[in-house]
Amino acid sequence: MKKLSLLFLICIITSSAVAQCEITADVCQSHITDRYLSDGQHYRALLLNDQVAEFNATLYGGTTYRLAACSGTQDGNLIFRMFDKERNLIYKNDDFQNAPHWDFQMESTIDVIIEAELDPIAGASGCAVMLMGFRR
Amino acid sequence: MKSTQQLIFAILLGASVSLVSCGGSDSGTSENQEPEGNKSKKKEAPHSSLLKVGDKIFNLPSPLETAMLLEEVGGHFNESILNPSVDASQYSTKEAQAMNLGVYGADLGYCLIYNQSQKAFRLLANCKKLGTELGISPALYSDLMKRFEGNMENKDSLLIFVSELNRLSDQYLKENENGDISALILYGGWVESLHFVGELTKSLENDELRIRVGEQKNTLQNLIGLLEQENRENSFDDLLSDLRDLEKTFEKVETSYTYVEPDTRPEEQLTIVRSKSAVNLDDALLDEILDKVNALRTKIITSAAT
Repeated sequence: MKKLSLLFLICIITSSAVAQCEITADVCQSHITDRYLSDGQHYRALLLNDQVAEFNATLYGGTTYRLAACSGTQDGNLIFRMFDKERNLIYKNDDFQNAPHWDFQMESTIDVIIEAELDPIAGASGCAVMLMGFRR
Repeated sequence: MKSTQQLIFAILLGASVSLVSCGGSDSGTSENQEPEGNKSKKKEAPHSSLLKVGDKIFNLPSPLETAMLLEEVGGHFNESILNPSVDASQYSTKEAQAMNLGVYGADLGYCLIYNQSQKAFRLLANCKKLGTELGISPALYSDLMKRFEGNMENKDSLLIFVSELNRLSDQYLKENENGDISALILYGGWVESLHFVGELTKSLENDELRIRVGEQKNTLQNLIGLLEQENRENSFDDLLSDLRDLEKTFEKVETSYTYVEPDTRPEEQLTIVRSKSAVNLDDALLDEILDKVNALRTKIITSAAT
């Protein structure tokens, strides 16, 4: 019975998150302004509790990227950190009030890992959406 | 009593699952009706793409980004490097349609970068045909085509429209449990973009182009990771085999990386990433990579041709 209850709870959360993802995507897209071209991809993950979504990317030298990271219907619900492949920290938005977007001007091409997790203050579960734009 | 409670939970669970399986689709115009093939796939989908906790997310460069590089280094527009198949209806399987939607999408971006808006508009019609076959809302394309026609001379606007179309298409596919289609579109676009770079290196000696090819070493790993995640029915086994063969060639590309402290400027919401990287590949290795990429492209554009 407990398992069934848990399954039911998960289904409810998932159902809610599916609808939430669409709203979150609209909120997030507003951060990719017309100065940037979208990379054409939509990245999302359902996060529960302290789960972390890992995002792997190559950022090319000579390009400035805008990364937008959102959860829920308002800014500041998602914490994200960018590392290089040697796990050196490049940036973390929790140093800047969970800024929902940040620009990265690349001098060389490097491979990065971006980790995203919900701010515990914002809730225990939610749809995390990340969008990327670029300009040269 | 216990069995009654279980029955109530079972009913609620069923309702909840129905909600999940219905979630995500757009409502609205009559053009949003999905093809029958896509509806049946949704019914068969055993999971929600949202339930991907623990999986990684992989990024591939936009074909537009690569096309911009070609223009920057002085490459001229060359129509002969586009997919010569002007009739998209020859692609009859879901896989061929998805991969060639990626190819046509890259061709479209290439034309836009070089102000070939009439050619781009024709390619957009091919994209609409394939995208609709794959279940992407025709309304997305119709809306874009209207905006496109009203801005034929405005390159910047057209680039924004197309990049937005690509994002919305990707979102639409993922919301409708078609992450595998999305991955194949990205694959087609990546191969076509690399084909453009390869063709230009034949006529233009340029280090930036050579470096861009070598820098695909990690991108290829991301592509393989993405396709492996979506290979739940082993339908990508052959494709992955080809890419792992290409990966072996890429392993010969020498790379170096030096971490440098980044410069973060909060007032500009900007971080300047100063770390340095380098790639090194000789002519023979460049040719080997580009030959394999061309073989992949030939497979894509001749796939499922009737």
